[in-house]
Amino acid sequence: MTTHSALKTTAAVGSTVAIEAGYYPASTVLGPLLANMGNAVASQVYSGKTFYSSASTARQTGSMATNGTLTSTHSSATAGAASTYTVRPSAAGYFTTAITSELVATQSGTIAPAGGTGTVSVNIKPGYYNKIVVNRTNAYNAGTAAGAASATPTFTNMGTFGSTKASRPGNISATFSATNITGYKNLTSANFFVRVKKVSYSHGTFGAQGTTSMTPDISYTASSGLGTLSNLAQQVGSQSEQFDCALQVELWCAH
Amino acid sequence: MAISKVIFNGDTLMDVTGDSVAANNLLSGESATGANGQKVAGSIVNRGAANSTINACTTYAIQAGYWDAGTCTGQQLDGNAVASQVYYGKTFYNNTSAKVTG
Repeated sequence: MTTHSALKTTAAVGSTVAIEAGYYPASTVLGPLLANMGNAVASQVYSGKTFYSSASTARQTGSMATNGTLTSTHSSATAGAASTYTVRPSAAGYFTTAITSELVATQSGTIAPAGGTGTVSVNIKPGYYNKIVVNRTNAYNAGTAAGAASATPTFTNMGTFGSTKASRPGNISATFSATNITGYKNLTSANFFVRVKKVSYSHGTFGAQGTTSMTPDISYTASSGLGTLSNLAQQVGSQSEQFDCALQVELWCAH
Repeated sequence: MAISKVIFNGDTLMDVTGDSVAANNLLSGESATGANGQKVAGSIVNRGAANSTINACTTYAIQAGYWDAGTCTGQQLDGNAVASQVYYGKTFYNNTSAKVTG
């Protein structure tokens, strides 16, 4: 009978360690050594996909929700009216649609009949998108006279978010910037966009009334990185008027 | 009384005094006569063949004893997730021994 010395070895992934016939003193054979097995957990992996990490020595299955193809339905108020839609994801999740267009998709055309609906599909880049509500900001602008410069509403947070109003009828124009958002990719136009939502809008009675409403959503994509977004412009009034508006800025970005 | 050596008429008919058999070098279930003429029962456990697949980061114990020829195979990873399907910055393994970063 052959007497072997103690065995202490490792069987790599899919490889074989031969055990020869004979006597062995107490020995060990280690399974594949996956150094620092990885820190992914199921909720961070696309649903149905399998992987291994430190969470378990057994194979795990991802559970990240999928939102599939993003679609949005819009109504047309007037028969034959041309409409333009901007579609955005409305919930965090993994989108599987292939890359065929930018994050922003618009459709111009005729939707008929009156009150009918049209469906707009937008293809976004696959990946996990998480909505971050950056801030809720408020702007107040007390108009004085037509064409006069007015007070400067202030937007804060997210680095800087400023608003200026140079003239009437005028625009709110804002810039903001953010960098080094922990846990997120280096932000490029490919993996993030910003959406500005109107939370509320009201105008006072000072002077002639101008525009009485804002477009509900103002959507932007950045041409490069999350540096500074400019020309966040929205007409909020004509002639002189007083208004309050509250905006909510959402930053959507991919992990 | 155990007999380890027999001499008859000057001739040595049987002599096991030089034998070195011991319980721990004889398979369990086997027996032999020791140098003192006593019966020695083997104590080495016959473990059979070590044919096993070993999961990642686990250990397969080769207990002391006699082993038939066999193999221990490292687990074949068979995950199918790819980097683009995993949260950014999170690490994992799919179907190779190389760690992948989402």
